[in-house]
Amino acid sequence: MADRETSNSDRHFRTPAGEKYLIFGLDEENYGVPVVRVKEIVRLPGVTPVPQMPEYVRGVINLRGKVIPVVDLRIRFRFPMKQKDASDRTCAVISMVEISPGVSTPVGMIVDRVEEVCALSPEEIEPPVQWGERLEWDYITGMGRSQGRVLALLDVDRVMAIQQASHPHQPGNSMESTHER
Amino acid sequence: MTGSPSESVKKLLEQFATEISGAQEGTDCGLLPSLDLLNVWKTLVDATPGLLSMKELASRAYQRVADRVEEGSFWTRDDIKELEKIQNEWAELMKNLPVDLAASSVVTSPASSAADGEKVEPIYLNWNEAEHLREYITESHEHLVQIEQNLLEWEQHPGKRDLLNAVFRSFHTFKGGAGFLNLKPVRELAHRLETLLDLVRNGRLNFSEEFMGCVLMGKDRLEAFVTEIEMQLNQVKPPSPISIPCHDCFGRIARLIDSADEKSSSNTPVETVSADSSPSSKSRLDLKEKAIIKVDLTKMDDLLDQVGELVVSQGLVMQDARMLEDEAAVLNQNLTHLFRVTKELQKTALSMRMVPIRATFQKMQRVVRDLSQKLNKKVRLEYEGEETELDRTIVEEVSDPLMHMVSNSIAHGIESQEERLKSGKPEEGYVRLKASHRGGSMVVEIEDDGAGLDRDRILSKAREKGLVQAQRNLSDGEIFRLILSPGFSTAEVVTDIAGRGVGMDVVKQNIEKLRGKIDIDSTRGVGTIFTISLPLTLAIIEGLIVISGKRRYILPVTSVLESLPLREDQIRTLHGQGEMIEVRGRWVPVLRLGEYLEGADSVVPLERRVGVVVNADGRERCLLVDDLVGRQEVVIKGLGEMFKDHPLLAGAAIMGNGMIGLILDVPNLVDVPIQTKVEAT
Repeated sequence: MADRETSNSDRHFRTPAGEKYLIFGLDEENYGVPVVRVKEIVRLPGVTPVPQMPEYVRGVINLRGKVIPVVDLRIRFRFPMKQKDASDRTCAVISMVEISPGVSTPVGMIVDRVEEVCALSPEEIEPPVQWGERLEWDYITGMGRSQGRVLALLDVDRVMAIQQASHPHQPGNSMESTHER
Repeated sequence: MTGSPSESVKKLLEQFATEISGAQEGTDCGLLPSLDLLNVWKTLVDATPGLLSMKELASRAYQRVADRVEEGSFWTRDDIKELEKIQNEWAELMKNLPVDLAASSVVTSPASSAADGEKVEPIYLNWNEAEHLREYITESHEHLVQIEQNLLEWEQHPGKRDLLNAVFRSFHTFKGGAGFLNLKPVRELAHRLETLLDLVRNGRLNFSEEFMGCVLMGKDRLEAFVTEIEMQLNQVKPPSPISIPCHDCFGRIARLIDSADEKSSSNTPVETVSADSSPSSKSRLDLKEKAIIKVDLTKMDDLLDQVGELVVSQGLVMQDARMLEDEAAVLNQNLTHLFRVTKELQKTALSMRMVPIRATFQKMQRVVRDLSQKLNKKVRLEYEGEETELDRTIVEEVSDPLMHMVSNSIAHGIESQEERLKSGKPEEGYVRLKASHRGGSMVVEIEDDGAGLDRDRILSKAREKGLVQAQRNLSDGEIFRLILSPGFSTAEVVTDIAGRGVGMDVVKQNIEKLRGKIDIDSTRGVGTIFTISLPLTLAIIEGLIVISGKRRYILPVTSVLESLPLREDQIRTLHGQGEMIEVRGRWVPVLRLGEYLEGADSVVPLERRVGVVVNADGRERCLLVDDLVGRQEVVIKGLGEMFKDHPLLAGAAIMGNGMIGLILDVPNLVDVPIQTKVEAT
């Protein structure tokens, strides 16, 4: 509520000194998430799609007997489709996501590659560049620099904030179907 | 509260204003403290004639917040507006209060010195002691259950002094723990109850209705404290000072204690001689027979998950081994053995979730006692099969519906004593609970020997309300089941102990949520039997696997009526509106599953597809799928927080190959609006 009114620049101050980030990549871009949120990283097992969810929700996977949803970050961040090739290092980063106040659940993010964990001190972090009023990128909490790379630091909760309408669009209903994306 | 009533009310108003100013729409911040405040205000107003002008206002305010709290929901904008209005009216009324309002009949009796000028301090939870508090909470719940059971049994068998001693000890231990954790009001209340108990067990006070009512009230109040502490510990509620009024309770206890002091010790002591008073008395004390350990529930669930995975892995290995056949005869033998061991392991793991229904049945004693007293009827509770076990989640969830059905039997089934005598029945009616395993399900019967259901009246009322078409012929069973429909009630809805009315349709919904069914049989003048059947475990269901649009889905077998091959000419539309299919002489609306779920037309021609007729609560739908795979027992998993509210999915299951199969929510599928044939997009 009131949170959304504060500008992007306020939020990067939340990062305490020397916090560690897990760095992963999509195409040439690099991203970081606080490592404290990451539970594990797994090779992507078979994904069972879940009907009537936004496209970036690929579905669910079986992680040692537990049902975990997975989100395709390439789709979420609107990267172009990619062909799978021999050098495929696609994996799922399983993080604890707070989907509603006080309620956390594991969710997997599908990424092209996972790089490493590195520590970023506050000096190495800048507020994200303001591209006008692009509120839809509010999941980027800052920009980091490490070893010559520029990292987009992500707020995991906002990345995964799935806009679930109470009655998601119903593709089969030809009467009133508005395929919004 | 010290000070005159008008000072107290003034303070309450100030506190109330603070709470309201902090209340925000969509949160429950201040909800419970407000309720406590309003309760104290209401109690004070009810007890003080001088505050009569506030009576209606206090009642209204309290009810409003109480409703919100009972729903378990949050402040709405209207709530806050309304309460602000009430606050203003309250302030207005304050201006008109006589300044010298005497504390004439404040809740405690003036004669009792023990309760004069009491200040009940609120409890501030010390979070450093969270672990100890949690332990105390768990033990307290057990103590309170024991107290109630022992008390109720002692009421029936006053000769069994052991029971009374047990209750005394329970309060004593309760008190000790509360003292240790500095929960002053709890300790105080427990102490007074202990004193009261002591008087009775020493024969200085006789058993009386008032005594029972008072101790039970005290027990309820202690329970309220414990529950509040628990909720704050578990962060179901925001931390706030815990203040639960006890004056009415203290007053009653004090009056009883006073009446004991007035008697000399020439009282005949409570019978000490009784055949059953030996230590081997098999009352409630024998529940400690089995050695029990406490295990974190999450650990058990994890164990179950892992066992599930073990079964899957081993299934895959066995499949591979079978292909080697003769070359690996010994391997196959060993694997078969492994399979048996794993299955046993799974059975044991699942059985850890099972608990006997005994505790739930015992809870009904209090319900029967209180309600029959309230309604001035004589009813006894009997039960058998209490050792029957079922899944712990089901046990928890079945408690409320059971309670409502028992209340219903007493309120509407059992007749008054005069009526019963007139019709030649014994004065005392019974409600009998019977639990048993029948054919892979758990069956609970609730039987009463009351007036029975009036079949014709039910039918005509249902026809009036349009619940049934005039000409349809219904069996007795179907007619009786009509009383479970929403909006139906031949008598006004049952008011249960908590003072809230609940319809039988809610009971039915709750049972169906547990994948159970209710059947009703009744004979006018003789009695009624409700039969609930529940699955033994929520963890496993038998599913029908279907393929639709290259994806597999699972339908609970209990929802499937039949499947049939399809012919183009079977499917018709009516008035250009919806597709229907003829099944055994009746028309059933159609839902093309693949198209509905994925938005893409099926590539399989109709003649090769299959129709699966599913049913939810009497409503049917024929799902068109591409193919049937077969039936399979699957272990259900939750879908997790993210999808748990997904309208079309009831859950997920791990299939034999380790993949996840989505279990479709049949009631929601059945209710999907009727489709016209989807044009290819």
